[in-house]
Amino acid sequence: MLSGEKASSEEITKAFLNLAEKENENIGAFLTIAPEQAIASARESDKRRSRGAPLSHFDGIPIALKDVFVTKGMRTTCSSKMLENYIPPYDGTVVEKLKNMGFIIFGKLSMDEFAMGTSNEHSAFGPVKNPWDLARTPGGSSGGSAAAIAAGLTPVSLGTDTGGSVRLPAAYCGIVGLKPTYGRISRYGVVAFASSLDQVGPMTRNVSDCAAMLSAIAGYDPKDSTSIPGDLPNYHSLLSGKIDGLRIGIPSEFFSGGIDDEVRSSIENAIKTCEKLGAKTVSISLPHAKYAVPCYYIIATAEASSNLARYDGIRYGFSAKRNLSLDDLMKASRTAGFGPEVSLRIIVGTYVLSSGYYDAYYLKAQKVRTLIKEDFFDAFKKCDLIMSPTSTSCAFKLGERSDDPVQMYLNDIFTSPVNLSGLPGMSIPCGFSREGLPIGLQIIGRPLDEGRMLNVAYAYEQATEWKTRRPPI
Amino acid sequence: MAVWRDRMKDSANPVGQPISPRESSLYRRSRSCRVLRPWFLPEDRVPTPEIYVTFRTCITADGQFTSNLRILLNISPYVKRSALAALKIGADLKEKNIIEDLKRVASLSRLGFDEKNLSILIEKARSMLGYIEQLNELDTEGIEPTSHAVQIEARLREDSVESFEEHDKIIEIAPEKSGHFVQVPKVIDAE
Repeated sequence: MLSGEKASSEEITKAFLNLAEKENENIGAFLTIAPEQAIASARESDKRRSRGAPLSHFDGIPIALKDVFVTKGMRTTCSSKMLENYIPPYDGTVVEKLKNMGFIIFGKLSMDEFAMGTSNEHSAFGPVKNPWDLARTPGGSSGGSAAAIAAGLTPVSLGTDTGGSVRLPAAYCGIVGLKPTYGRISRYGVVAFASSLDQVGPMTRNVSDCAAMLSAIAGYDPKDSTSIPGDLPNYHSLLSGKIDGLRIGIPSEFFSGGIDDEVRSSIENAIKTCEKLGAKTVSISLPHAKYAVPCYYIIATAEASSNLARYDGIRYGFSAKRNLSLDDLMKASRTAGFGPEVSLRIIVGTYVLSSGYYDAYYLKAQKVRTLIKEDFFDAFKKCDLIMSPTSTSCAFKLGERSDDPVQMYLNDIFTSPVNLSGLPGMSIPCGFSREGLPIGLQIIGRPLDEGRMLNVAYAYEQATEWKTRRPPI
Repeated sequence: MAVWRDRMKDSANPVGQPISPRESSLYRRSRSCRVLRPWFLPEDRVPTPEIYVTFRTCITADGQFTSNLRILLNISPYVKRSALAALKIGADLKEKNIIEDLKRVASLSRLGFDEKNLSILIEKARSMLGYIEQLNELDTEGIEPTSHAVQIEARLREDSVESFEEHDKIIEIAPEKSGHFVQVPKVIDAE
């Protein structure tokens, strides 16, 4: 929070702009850097604060956003050739809220194309590199946001999480990432991928910033009929750090086979730390969670195939050469505009929705979704929240899992059940591998219980030193 | 047995006559099945008087999917060989169907592919479709589908006019425009 005479927003914004320009060659996190707009906004902010009339305690803080958020007058690409030159004529609700609080949006961050991916390698504009090891992926799809925060190129950021896209990159880059309850944050002005799963989430260096950012952007929005009405807690004020008597559920299925030993031992140590802080552990079972990835890839592709039908090469976005018939123009524009992963998902999504296959795939997946969700609700009768690894391993090498889509999708194995159930989940740093790569602890809460989840994360963070480590760059 | 053997020879309809009367309703459903992914009991159970073949996924002649068909076979080594041969035919047919369906779906999605990209796409799509078939391990009979994880009542808002001043900005982002209009290619042939 900017206060006193220490530095003006203009100075701070310029410092971040310079850093972004300089470091982006190494990291590749930024798709757009907007010095003119940012410096003009920062000057406005400085005027307000010198008058003693800041818009909020965030007034003047620079922020770079995942390039899935529609920003008026600032290019919004979704890392796709389809939207390479798209200048939105409006702000989404979350962006409007940030601007109304005085945040200075100074750039847009890379992601997997249309948020489809777990490694940021599906960006049409090149991969992002993990600041902890430039040969490795930052995770995806909000890889640019996670890498930029870890490298100190933006103080905070926002991502979106459809199957793990905030939490996985947060884990791989050693930062805090939170996906709230489905409906907690408006999705108006967020480019749609899978509408029954997509959710906006804050990505920050520490839990306290995360709580403050969540309060800043959450709440009902008449422009998003899936947003949840009702009072919003002040999440920051709920960070007491006291977790006496809290019951933490440990799902046995998330600790059996397939996870790296280093990840397992870090998570077990984190749970022990929480026990020392007064929490109790309860063994729980989520027997259907192992079906979450196949279930997710039916539902998400089906919804994506419908959402991405809007890109027709006529109203906005990439358009192929003219003098074609309407049908041929659409086909040529979509074929050239979408990358291979997006095309694959549109086709699989259309396939699972097509007549003859609808019941066997889509309806079946929706029923399995019910089973996955019911497991969580049964578990929450015995515990207040759940802890697990965020992913089975640390960040993998770029190119290592590119050939087989299924291998790539399995990166979402611990995160996608949470989206399918609409629950809040977050990832916080809980250790490092021998190679110096961050490990993420996933915390899953009851619906709308973000406050308790954040408080446990805060208690754990205060009891450990992980947040003080910085990447070598 | 005779009936079964005859049917096994007829590769267009490679599904056997069930022995038990209580299987007859299944039999009616399965008459025109072409099949994949069978599940046989272990080798050492053959020959036993009663053996089931579970068809996890079947495509019927009209292209419909059915799952978890159980067909009772009075199996002999000869029948088993024939059944496996028939299943191979079924698998080949499904393979052909998937490729044709994927091509059809690509065209419905208004996406085009050259030969090389098409074969990469088909390989990846098959890998995905094969992977997601594991959901058939679960019995979901009678389970309510979840379309949204959080059930929210549909809310209506006032249907009021909000002003938006920057119409030009919307026209500006259209690839082809004419004055205040987005221009589209000719839609109807006027001949």
